[in-house]
This record gives sequence, C-alpha cells and structure tokens, in this order.
Amino acid sequence: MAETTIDFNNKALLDSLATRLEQEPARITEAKKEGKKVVGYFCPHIPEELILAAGMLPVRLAFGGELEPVSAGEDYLKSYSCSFARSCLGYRKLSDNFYYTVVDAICVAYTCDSMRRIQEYWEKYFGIPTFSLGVTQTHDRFRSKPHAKEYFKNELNLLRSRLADFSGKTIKDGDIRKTIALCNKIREKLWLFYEYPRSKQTPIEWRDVLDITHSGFLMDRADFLNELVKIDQDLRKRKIEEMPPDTRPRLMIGGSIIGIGDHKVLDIIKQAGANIVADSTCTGSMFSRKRVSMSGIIGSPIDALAERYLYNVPCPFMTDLPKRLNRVIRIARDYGVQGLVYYNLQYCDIWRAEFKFIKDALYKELSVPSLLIETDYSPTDVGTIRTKVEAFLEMIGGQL
Amino acid sequence: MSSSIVAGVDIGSTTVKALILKDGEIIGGLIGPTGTNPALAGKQILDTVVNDAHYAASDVKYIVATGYGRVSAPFADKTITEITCHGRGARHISSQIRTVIDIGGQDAKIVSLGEDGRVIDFVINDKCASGTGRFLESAAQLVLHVPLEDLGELSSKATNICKISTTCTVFAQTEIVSLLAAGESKENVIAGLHSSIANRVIGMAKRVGVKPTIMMTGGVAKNIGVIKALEKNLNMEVIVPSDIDPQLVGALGAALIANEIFTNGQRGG
Repeated sequence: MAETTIDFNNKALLDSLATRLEQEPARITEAKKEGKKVVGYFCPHIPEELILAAGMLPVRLAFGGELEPVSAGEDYLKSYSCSFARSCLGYRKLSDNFYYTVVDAICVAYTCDSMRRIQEYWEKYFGIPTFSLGVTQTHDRFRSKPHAKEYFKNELNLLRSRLADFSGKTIKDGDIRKTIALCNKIREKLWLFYEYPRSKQTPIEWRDVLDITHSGFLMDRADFLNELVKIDQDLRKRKIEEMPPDTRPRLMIGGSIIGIGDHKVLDIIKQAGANIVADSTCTGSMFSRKRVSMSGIIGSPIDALAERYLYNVPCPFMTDLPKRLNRVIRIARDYGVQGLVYYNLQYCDIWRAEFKFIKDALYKELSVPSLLIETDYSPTDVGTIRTKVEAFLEMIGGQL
Repeated sequence: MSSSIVAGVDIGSTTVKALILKDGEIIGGLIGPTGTNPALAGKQILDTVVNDAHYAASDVKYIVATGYGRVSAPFADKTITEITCHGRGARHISSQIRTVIDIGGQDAKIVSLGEDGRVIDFVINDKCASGTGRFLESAAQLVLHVPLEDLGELSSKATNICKISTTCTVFAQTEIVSLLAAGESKENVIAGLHSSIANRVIGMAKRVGVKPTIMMTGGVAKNIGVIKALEKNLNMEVIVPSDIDPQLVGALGAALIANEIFTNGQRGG
C-alpha cells in the first residue's frame, strides 16, 4: 500500500498539522460529493492561484521514494526515465495513493521530455482530462524583451479559460486577486520558517519546514494557512536565544525533486550526523520563494502571475545558468553551509547536467565543496551512499 | 606500563585486512577472506595479527574500523570511511602523494589530497561493480580459465591490445568469448581488459582532477598489467607501495588515525 500521508520528523511541533492532514482524504471525498473538483499538477510552474480561483482544489502530486510506483510506471516510460517521472504514472496506475486517484483533471507544464508524455498517458490511458502549459526557456536571456512573457501570459490565459470551462465557473480577475493574496500569505509564512535555520539557534529544522511544505501540496489551502499561523505563533513564543546552538556540520541539499516521502538520502545524511539547513529544490524552499507582486492584487493578475512563475521556478532547464549559480551561491552564503549534497535522481539529465558548474562555482566563490549523489528509489546503494556522505563529512570536518 | 598497541581493521567486500602499530611503528599486518560474516572475519583477522605479534587482545587500546563492513564491527572504538583511511595511509608511505586510486573487490575510488595531505575531493563508483576486482576475477575464472594472479604477467606478453568496449562484468564475458572465438590470444584479451579498467577509472578520476604523484592501492594494484595500462593512458607514473602490501593501505590509515586518537587521549587525560 502506498503512503498517502507524511511521516513528520518533528511530531511535537507539527501535531496539529498532522492531525489536520490525516482528515484531508475524508474531507476531499465529502467535498467531491458536493460537486467540488480536484485538479492535480506535478511541476511548480502551474499557478495554484488559477485552480483555486476556479473554485477547485489544487493538489501537487509529488509523492516519491517508493519502488512499486516506479515499477508500475515502467509500463509507459522507458526504464531510464527518472524514478519520479515513472512514479507520476505508477501511482495512478496502482490506484492505491488517494491523491492520485481522487483528481478529476491534471495540469502539466512542459518542463521535460517525460512530463510531456506523462500528460498524454494520463489522458489516453487513465481517461483524465489534462491541461497543458507551455513554458519558455529563453526568458532569462531576453529579460528585457517582451516575447517570452507575452507567450507565457497567453498560455496562462488559455489555462485560465480551460479551467473555467472545466469547473463551470467564470474566473474573474477579482477571483484570482483573492487567491493570489491567499497563496502569498502561505509563501510568506513558509519562507519565514525556512529563514530560521540560518542561525545555529533555531526552533525549527529545515527538514520540518520541508514536511510542512509538502503538507501544503495536499491540503485545503485556507486550512493550510490556518495551520501555518498556529505554527508561527508557537515558534514566536520560543526563547531562541536560550536554545543550545546546533553544532552539527551544516549542509545544503540541491538537485532534483525531493518527493513527498522520499527519505532515503535525507535519512542517510541525518544518521551520519549532519544537519541540512537549506535547499535549492523545487519541492523545498524554492516553492515558496518570491511572492506574486502586489500588482497582481491591484493590476492585471495574469501579468503578475506570469512574472512570478516564469522567472522564479528553480528548474535548471527553465533558468539561465548565471542565475542558477547566483541563486545557489547566495543560499550557501546566507545559510553558512559547509558543503552541498547534490541529490540527483538517476537519469534526470536536467539537473545532472548543471552539477559541474554548481560544484566549481561554489568552490571558487565560497570554498564550499559539493558531493554528488546519483541514485533512485531502490535501497541497494544505501551502503555506498552512506560511505560517500560520511567521507564527505570527514573531509569538511577536517579533523582527520 | 602496558604496551600501547592500536589497530586498523579494513573490512572489504572480498577481503578483511588488519594492521597493528606499536608506538606508531607497524608490527603486524594480515589479509584474509571476508566470507559471509564480515564482522566476525574482521575480529578473527585482528586477533590473529595481535597473536602473531605475541600480544594479547587486551593490549590493543584503540581500534578504528574502515571499509564497507565497518558499520557492523562492534569491536571497533570508531569507524572512519575508507576514503579518509586510504588518503592517510598513502600519505604516510609517501608525503608526495596527491592522488590515490584504490580498486578493491567491488568498488573503485579516487581520492584527491591537498598539499597538506587532507582529502579535498573524492569519487566512488555507484552501485554497479563494473571495472573493479570482481570484474577481473570473474573474467579470469569463468572465461579465460587462468589464475587471477597470472593476469598481470600474461598481459605483458600481449602483441596487440584488444578493444573491449564494456566494463560490465556480464557483457564483458560475452565480448571475451567472441574475441577468443575470433582467434585472439588470451594475452591480447587480458591486455584489453586492463585497458578498459584503466579507462573507466581514469574517467572517474578526471571528475576530481589527477595530480601527481599518483599511488594505486587495493587488490588490483597487485596486477602490473593494470598499473601499466593506467600509466600509458594517463601518461603519468603510478606508484605502488613496495614496503607494504597495497591491500593494507586502508588498514594502515585506520591504524594511524587510531594511534592519533589514542595518543591525543593519553596526553589530554
């Protein structure tokens, strides 16, 4: 049976959120009986704001780390597609993960070769309506020229009208403005939490914020915000200056997607005695990085969404290299990391291809070394990865 | 005063290695098969070394375990990865070493050392054991029918180096069978195998940069054919430890670290 909930690392802090998340499948089932529709998506280029504005529930289908869905996905994609891509099909094929089974439609951004075909398999083989979103690759290079953004705005307007047709509800600019405000508040809280581990004295670990972020992919967004407010209030009450500083080696994790439930590499790092304090992954801090500008609330919401979603997604395929390098270097510097663990899902060319650039730039700018972990969801290489991580820690520890 | 003996135990996939130091000097080292119980094999080889040096197990004051089986060695005081241990061992043998190439039973690793001897980068092969000791072992036993130890010498008699396009243990066997069937000599085929291992390792090594002086350690370092192929394809000299078995370098590094920790503890306490 596939996992459909989150195994929270810090149960004490996240008790209320965990309880609320457990109720989600039952609540969604009830809401569906009343005619509510659920729309899934995979890559973070899809603006949740549009799905919400159509009165539907967005769910980011980002589970990972399990072998069975990977095998099931092999019916469709080649065996040398990444484990996550195969899981995007495998979970639905197995029909034992609630969220993949409950969706009425999915949105797919064309972000890699696999994603494109995933859309078509969902449509033809699972009979699920799908809405595509084209994303440009030259927008950073030609930032001052309007063509990329104009194209993306057209794509967003098309998505907007198709989501409206599907929901049977007109999406007014005012509806989008409201959902932009909601999503911005969520981003603001999440980003606040991700900032805590910049200090060695922190009431919350990066791993906990990752768990919180993942919960937000699945939960009713207004309820999620309520939970974030509660966690925020709890954190503010803590006397940070009295906390013992965390003396473990400080690591940043980068690379491909860390799926919901994909604990293999994170657990090895933790068991080896290191502390992940920052990330540059699309299911981690990068998901909440940068709010939609206020012009989305007072001016054209589509224009503001285009600006946010075109220029702020972390995917290297969609981002110019200098921007990627600056971003990773800035995070590494801000969080005072001693090393980068670059977790690349095997066969994900998009992330793997930038590794040498990232490694060399981090070393040149900050003398921060990088470790490449290329793996999949199978447990066969846990021993080798453990050796790599421990050797890396011995190296950055420098005491030997 | 009791003797201050410290030990390094390297529990590899195929062999276990133990080395003991007394006051920083090597007084014994031994290699044995890992078998099916790595932790037990490690303990037994250590006991034998200690016994052979006429000491008792209780004389051993500090033990560092390394190698893939290190995590299951309850007798160790500390575990350190083979990366750090090989670096330390190689630097002890020669302070000029900047790159260590270690090819063992099921993995290959390259360690890049700074001028001060610290590890600055490393690479280990992923889960596939292609191009490692196991690759040579299975080719020697299953298709070439020659003893593993003879591969090096046989390759020196090659008149031509066969092209073997894969370092996959399974596919290479098929390729060897085809080459032999086409009339290639054993010697030429073996030279080809060595060249293909060398190329794979050099490909890995380039990820960390290859700086002289280069030392090769591990079981495959005993194969002169692989050393020659590495030197030829790198166009650089590759040295192999002469006063100590190259398979013992990891255990030596572990013992040196054990000695350092123990000595510091004595001073501090």
